[in-house]
Amino acid sequence: MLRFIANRAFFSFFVLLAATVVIFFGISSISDPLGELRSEPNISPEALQRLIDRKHLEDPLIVQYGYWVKDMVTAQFGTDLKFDRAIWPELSRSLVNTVQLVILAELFAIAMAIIIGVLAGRFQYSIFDYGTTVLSFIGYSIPIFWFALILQIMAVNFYQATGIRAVYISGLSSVDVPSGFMFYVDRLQHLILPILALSVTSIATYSRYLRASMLEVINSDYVRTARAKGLNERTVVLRHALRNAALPLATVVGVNLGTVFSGTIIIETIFSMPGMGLFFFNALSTRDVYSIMAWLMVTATLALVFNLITDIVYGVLDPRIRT
Amino acid sequence: MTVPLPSTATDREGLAVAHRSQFRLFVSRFFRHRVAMISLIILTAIVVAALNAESISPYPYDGMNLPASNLGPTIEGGHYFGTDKLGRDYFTRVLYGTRTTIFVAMTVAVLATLTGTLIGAFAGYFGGRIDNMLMRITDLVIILPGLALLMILTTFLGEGTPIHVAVLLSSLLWTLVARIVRAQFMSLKRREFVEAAILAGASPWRVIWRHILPNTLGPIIVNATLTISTAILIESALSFIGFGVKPPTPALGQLISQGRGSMQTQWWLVTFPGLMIVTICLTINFIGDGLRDALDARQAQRS
Repeated sequence: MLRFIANRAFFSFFVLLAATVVIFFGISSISDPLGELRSEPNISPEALQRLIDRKHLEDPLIVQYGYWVKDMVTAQFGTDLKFDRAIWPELSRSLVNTVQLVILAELFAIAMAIIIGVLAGRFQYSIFDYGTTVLSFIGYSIPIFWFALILQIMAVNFYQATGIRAVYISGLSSVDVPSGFMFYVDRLQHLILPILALSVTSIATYSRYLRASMLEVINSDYVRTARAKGLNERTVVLRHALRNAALPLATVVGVNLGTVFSGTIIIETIFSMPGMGLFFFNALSTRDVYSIMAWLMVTATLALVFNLITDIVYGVLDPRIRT
Repeated sequence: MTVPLPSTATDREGLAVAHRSQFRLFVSRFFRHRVAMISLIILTAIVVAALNAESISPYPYDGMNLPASNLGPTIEGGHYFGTDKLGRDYFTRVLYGTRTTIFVAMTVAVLATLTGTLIGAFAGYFGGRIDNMLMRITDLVIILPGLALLMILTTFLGEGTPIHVAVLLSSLLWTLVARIVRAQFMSLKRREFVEAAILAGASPWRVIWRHILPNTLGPIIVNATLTISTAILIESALSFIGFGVKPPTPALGQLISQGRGSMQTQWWLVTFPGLMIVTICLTINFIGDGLRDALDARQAQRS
């Protein structure tokens, strides 16, 4: 197992190296870092020249690539173009917030999917089964940004009707952040709507998948054996069937994470959450190529790390591939 | 022989089934799928209404009428979906937005399916180095963060016209069909009827076009259907955050984005375009499900 992880980590290093090349030359080929600034009347030629010197923009591309990689390794992605601010402090803060949101949303989605998938698989063709099938179709068809807006409307209406502030519709913390236990309550009140909006598609995907694999497993020989031994239904379903049915879900979750991260761009924009998605949105709006490239590198690293974790989880769940 | 065999006459009678082609079988199976049928009717109605928006609605989509601004939706007032802050009839705007969105999605489905089929067919039929190279490219496109990439491309290259958005979207959405077609080709090319065709001297082009491709049509069609709904969701999201179809061309996501500012008081500005997206995607997904059952295209599972 350790050797497997070491192997994968070694391989990932080369993937990241390839990613730097693709990202730098890809972005350079479609954009001119100074495009916007050149047409701005407020920026003097001297200021522009200072920018060019600072980022070595008159050197050949391959040299610029060298400087960029050097900045990335030694100075944590260096600074942005216009204001020479360090990129990493804001990006790392965003990263933490987004990872927090994604993990909570995915845990919620997996929990919901297990409940729905197990019950729908166990009671096939019941009303519950049909109901959740229709719901999952709606889950596939609903645009998450629209669902997020509807949640916001509902939250505001609820507040206006009852005067109880159950959830917040923007930001990550209140202005007067409470301390101790109340801090977590406050954080959760801010996170509930984003989590709900972000997990709709995941719940639909995972529960469908789990239902299908439950149906497969529940008719297998070892489940029949477990029943024949006289185990109670609860043990049969939860210990014998679910464990094996949940196995392929690890892969599905891993593949789906990319979609969830795409979703955070939209969700964080709507809920004004200072995360990776909002960082990217702002970087694009100001056309700051250095922030964009840093964001892409962090995203690529995240994708690789999550891929690795998925493989390890799979190894833990399925002893057959652990060799 | 003590057991009497059934007489050949009755046997023939039992087997006397009218000849039915594969296509007829497919049609009868699809029509039996009730949810898919209802979905098809609703979707057809929406598409026809969107294409004939001029004759259905008396208002132009950009016709301002300030005295009639911010009206709620009423049947008797003639503004079924209300009006926006400039007094433009919202029902009309949603119809025109639907037209743009469906146009983009259909274009994406066609382009992505053609590209994916071509790449998958080449990779699956020729195998070896060609397969390896094409599949590495496919893997790369799958790994790329789709929405982020689209946002970057529209920022630096985009003009925000529907056709432009459609081309960008289809440059990412061909991967699933490529994989499906490749898998089909790899299994089909070893079958006897293909080997017979090759032995009879058919050119690779003819084998691919006449012998293998017709047998993979089922999964391709199902996948193309589902691609339409994926494309609608992505295009709406892009247009919503301002990286997709740009005004003055109305698109559903963009309408939601414009209505967002006053959504607490004028709820209809956000609700109706969203309901339209949900309805269209839902019907398409049900139709895809019905097609999958009718064509028995198990390979075209949702990814």
